[in-house]
Amino acid sequence: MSVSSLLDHESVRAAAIKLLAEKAPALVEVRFPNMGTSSDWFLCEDSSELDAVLDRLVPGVQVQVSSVWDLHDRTGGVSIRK
Amino acid sequence: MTQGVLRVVVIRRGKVKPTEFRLRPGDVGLSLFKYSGTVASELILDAVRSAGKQGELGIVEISVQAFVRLRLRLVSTPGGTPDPTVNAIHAEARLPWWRQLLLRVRGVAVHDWFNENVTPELAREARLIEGELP
Repeated sequence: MSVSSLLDHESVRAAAIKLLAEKAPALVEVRFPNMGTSSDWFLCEDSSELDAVLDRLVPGVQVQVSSVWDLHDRTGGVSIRK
Repeated sequence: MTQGVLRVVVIRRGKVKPTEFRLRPGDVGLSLFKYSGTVASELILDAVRSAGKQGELGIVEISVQAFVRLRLRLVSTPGGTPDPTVNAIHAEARLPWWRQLLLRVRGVAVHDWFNENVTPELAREARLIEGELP
């Protein structure tokens, strides 16, 4: 399950918090469209951590929240045992 | 004197990684700022930082010639930062229409092709001109 939103959609924000409550941790991608820079990435364990990310963003920034349990490894991951 | 195209990057352990020049799914071009001579690079950094971008930020310059050599088109488009002055110099580096058509016919996503073929070249060409390195 994944939630993508513009930050001004409060209901989508609530859905992201619900996703975190049910399937934490979540990988959070913060995209800055047309702002000449790359995405920021965060791993959030709970809604307070997500809020800390969201609170500093301005309108126009896009956020994608995905449960790590639903991520697909299409290119083949690397496993390391020590 | 800066003459090229600018992008805001995160400096990790003193280095700028190729991941700073990747397209994400849905992107049609790499977001950049054209150097205009009237907008200071500090202003660009401040605009991106005020949008919420985190980390140790810097600005890299890539020469216009590099884009020509890579057969990329520089298209002026409106920027998305909170600063209208900075938004006015925003541009995207896009693949030419014939390359996009070819990729569509082959069923290859633009961002996948860009990241594999263009990103490493841009990373090689990028030169840090403004940063927070000690």
